[in-house]
Parts: sequence; C-alpha cells; structure tokens
Amino acid sequence: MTAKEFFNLSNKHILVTGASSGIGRATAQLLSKLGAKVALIARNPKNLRSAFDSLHGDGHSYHINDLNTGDEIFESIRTIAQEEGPFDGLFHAAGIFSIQPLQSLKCKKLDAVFDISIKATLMLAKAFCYKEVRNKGDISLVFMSSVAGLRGQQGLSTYSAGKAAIDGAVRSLAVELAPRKMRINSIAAGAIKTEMHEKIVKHLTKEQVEEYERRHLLGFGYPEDVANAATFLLSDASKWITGITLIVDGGYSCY
Amino acid sequence: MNKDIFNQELADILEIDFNDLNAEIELDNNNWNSLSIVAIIALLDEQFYISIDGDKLKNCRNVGELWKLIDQVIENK
Repeated sequence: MTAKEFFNLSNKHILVTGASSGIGRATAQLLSKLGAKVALIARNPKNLRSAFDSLHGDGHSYHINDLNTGDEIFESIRTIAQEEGPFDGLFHAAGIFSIQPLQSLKCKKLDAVFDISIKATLMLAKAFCYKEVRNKGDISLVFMSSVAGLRGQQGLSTYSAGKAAIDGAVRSLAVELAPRKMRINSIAAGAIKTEMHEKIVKHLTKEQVEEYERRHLLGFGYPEDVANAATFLLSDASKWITGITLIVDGGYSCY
Repeated sequence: MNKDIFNQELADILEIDFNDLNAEIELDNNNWNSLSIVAIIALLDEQFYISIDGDKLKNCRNVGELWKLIDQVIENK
C-alpha cells in the first residue's frame, strides 16, 4: 500500500453523527474530500442541510435523528443502511456538553447526557453487528470522547462520567467485535473552538480563559484537528489499532 | 420559556430551598462563584435562549437584581 492509498477513502461509506456542526461537520467534510461517501446524522434540519451542501463529491445523504430513542437507534441505522447501502465505518460525534454543579444535578439531565454518550455508543455499535448495516471488509468505529473523562474539572462530573463510560466501553467492544473484523477506538479531545466552546469562554473572565488555554500547551484546538485524527482512525492507515483512546488535546493532559 | 424550571435550578445552585427563594436573597452569601455563574449562563441559554455577560451576572448583588437583569435581556431579545 502506498502512502497516498493510506488516506484514500474512495471505497468507503462512513456514517457521521453530530454532523451538522463543529467536529462532526469538519470530519464529514474531510472524509468527503478524501473520497468517502458520507451519511450525515443530526437533529437540526437547517444546519444538517447546510453541512450536507458543504460536502465534496456526490453520493452523500443526510438523516434527521436526535439518537435519543434508545433501542430504536438500531432500527434507524438499519433503515439508513437499507436506503443508502452498508457502511465501512462510523464516527459518533454527537454529544451534549454539560456544565453542572453537583447541587443542581437532576437525573433527567444525567439521562440526557448518558443517552447521547454511552447509550447511543453501545446502540450504534450494536447496529454494526448486523450484516445488512456493515460492508464485508474491515470496519472502523470511532467514538468522540473527551479529556474530561481522563482529568478532573469543576462542574463537569456528569460530562466526564459520560465520556469515561465511552472509553471503558471501547476496550470491551474492541475485544468483542474483533472477530467480526471491526476496530473500535475513541478520541479524547481537549478544548476545541466550536460554537459551544465560544459561548462558554465568552463568559469567563480573561484570567480564567488564559489559565484554561495555558493548560493546552499548543493552545485551543480547531475542529479540523480532531477531524484529522478521526480520519486516521477511520482509514486503513490505522488498521492495526483497536481499543485505544487517542488523546488529541494540545497537551492538556500532560498536567 | 420556563421560569419555574429556571428558579428551581437557581435555588439548587444557591443551595437554598425553592420555597425560600426571594428577591432579597444575597448572592454572595449563597454559593455565588465562578462555577455558579457558568452554570447559570448554560441554564439561561437552555431555558430562555439568551446570553448574558458573565461580568453582569457577577455584579448582581441579590436574586432580585438577577431576575431584573434576565427580564431586561429577554425583553430586548
């Protein structure tokens, strides 16, 4: 295999969740640029359409779904696969960022964060167990996690738990699904300059933002930084990598 | 918009009983710190789709001033 072929995704069909903005959108764009056919999933119809229109090439599709439906997620993915064809990979970027002091924590909020993080992760992985959902070759599933699952931060206990659960599940899924030629990995991202990040940072004091950015040795990241890592894990260039959490955090977790 | 939900969460953040929440409650004496303020910002976005500058929230002395500030921002939305 030549170096150029490593990142040639022209024979791959990839499902991307959370595709209407931020990391999901940037990854879908990069995958399409490298030749992949991409199926986008998100809950916001207007933003989803805009993300779809920004893709390179053709053969792509988009599907409105909030992935909040528990057991029905499997049926939704199966329907998409029947309509658009089976998949070679998945990038699950959909998630809810939650800053929640413990004293105001409610089970409803906990459920919302866990539904989209760990429950959706397991249900999406389950969907790929079915032959009509996946192609016959090697399959790569990549789940978005966060350094918040590895390092403590005030107000992030719910969010951290949801992301750490994904990293934990990835190890066992890698073992369970290896016989089906499926690789399972997660990406633990640091602070990425997305819409939500800007919203939070805008309201911190200058000193707080400086301290937060200082801990990211290479500064805050961009959606493209994670898209590069996700594309690597989805490509054949990472064909001997499974069960890992790839840290993409500009050095945040060195502390 | 749901002011009841907002006030319930505000009471939780301030660590006081919802039934005791009133305009005279002094914020500084009730767990009003940087984490509370960031949590309120997220809550305002979630419940009212509004954005309020953190420094303005920080300058509120009591619950009454906080309510007034939120009402002003909602009216001017």
